[in-house]
Amino acid sequence: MTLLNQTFDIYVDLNITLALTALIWLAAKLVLARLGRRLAFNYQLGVLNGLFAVMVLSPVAVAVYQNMQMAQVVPAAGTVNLADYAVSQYLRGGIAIPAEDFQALLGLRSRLTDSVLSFAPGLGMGIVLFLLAGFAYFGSKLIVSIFRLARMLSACHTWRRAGRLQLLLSDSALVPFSARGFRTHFVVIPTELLAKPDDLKLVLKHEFQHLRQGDVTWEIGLEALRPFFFWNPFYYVWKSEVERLRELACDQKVTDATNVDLRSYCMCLLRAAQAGIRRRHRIAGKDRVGNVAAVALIEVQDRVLRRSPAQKLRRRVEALLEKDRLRPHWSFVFLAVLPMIAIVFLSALSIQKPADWTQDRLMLSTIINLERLETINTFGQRPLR
Amino acid sequence: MRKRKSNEFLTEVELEFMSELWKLGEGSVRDILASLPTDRKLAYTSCATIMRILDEKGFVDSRKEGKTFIYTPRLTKDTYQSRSLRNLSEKLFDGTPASLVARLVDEYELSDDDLEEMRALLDRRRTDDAT
Repeated sequence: MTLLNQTFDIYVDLNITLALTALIWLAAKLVLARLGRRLAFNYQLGVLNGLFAVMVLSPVAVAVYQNMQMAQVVPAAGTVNLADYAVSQYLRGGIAIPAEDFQALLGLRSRLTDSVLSFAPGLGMGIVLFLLAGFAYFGSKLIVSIFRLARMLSACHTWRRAGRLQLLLSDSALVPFSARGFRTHFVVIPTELLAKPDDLKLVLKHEFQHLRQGDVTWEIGLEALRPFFFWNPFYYVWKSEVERLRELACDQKVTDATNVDLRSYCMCLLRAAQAGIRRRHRIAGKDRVGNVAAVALIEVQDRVLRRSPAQKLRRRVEALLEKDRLRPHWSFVFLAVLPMIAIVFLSALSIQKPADWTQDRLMLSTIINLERLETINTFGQRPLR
Repeated sequence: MRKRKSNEFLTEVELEFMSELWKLGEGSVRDILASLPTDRKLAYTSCATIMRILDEKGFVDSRKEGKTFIYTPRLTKDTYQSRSLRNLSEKLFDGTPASLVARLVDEYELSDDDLEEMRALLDRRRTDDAT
């Protein structure tokens, strides 16, 4: 197998694993909602980010596991393979389709991979062009956004510096936001906010919490993966969940502090939204920073196929007013998440191409050959009356 | 020397500070703070930051007297008014000042005296242009 084949296989596996991980997350959310248990948002965010890390690292984990299997460190019986399972189910009569069709179904991914990697005219070439065009579009959009952000940061006035943190003041930022470089973290505040000391305190607490949660780093990671996952709807589901939860978790953490009044905080969010919308109209199109590599206090720009900023703000205020969310010890959360991690890993393992011919596969191949022979043998027979 | 960051226009809060400085002629952060309305609860450090930004943007000059910085406007209020109006006319009224004036006349309830003053202004301008 060539390196290109292997890379493309990992790419396809990652996309499938992302879809499965998203489904696992949504199912867990549904179960919790049905049970009437509401987990604190920072726990939910932790689980979500953890699952994403597991998903991204799943090809490495699978490769390590397969190597361990080859070195006979783990028993061969521990193999889980979806294709092998489907074949055994077929042989037991669990799947009722002709053997040749079933074989074709099993080989679908290999055929598609071959046609993509050999740039076969038609579907293969179409997929290659689509993936390349999407990668180029979203990749260039990412680069432009990073340059725009860098330009905006350099146009800001430095307010304070503390270690690796810089507080910047901007004339053109619609709302406060956090960003980061390789080592330095930035919190950007619209200059006008200096004249509102009470709001300024709350906004800074909010942005510092984002930095503590590592939200900017996660945002950069997710955005860097967009050119690869742009066609996968589950990527957008995941991104929207992360965006929702990181704000809710941040709001919750800030308002948990004893010296923060919930009402003042909600009013601060409303005022920030109002000011952001006013500024959006005033500086329409000029020096606007996209949503890439930065985490804003509040959204004030409409985005395609997404909830309106007003709806999002309403949900944030409603969530803040909810009380008594579960805050178990992290070890309990880890224990609860362990089965989810196991499912992600097993899913990643099960979608791998089977390494060898199994007894069941040989049997399936024999059935197909026998069916073909039977067809050939019945050519000379008279049709039954 | 501090790096100058070019920006032709003032934000709302900067304009508020510049307006006070234009009234005072020159002054320190404390002078400006004292001239702001009493309900404006601004921290000294915030005011000092805003004045520093105005200095960086080139709207004011600063000199040190003892331990205090004294700020002086680098441009007059009239100059800034003209700059803002030109910008407004170009961006919002497609570079046609006449439509800006028309909107002004439509939207504001102008008294007879205001209209008379405007007429006199236009007549004076026409006479100046003719000579």
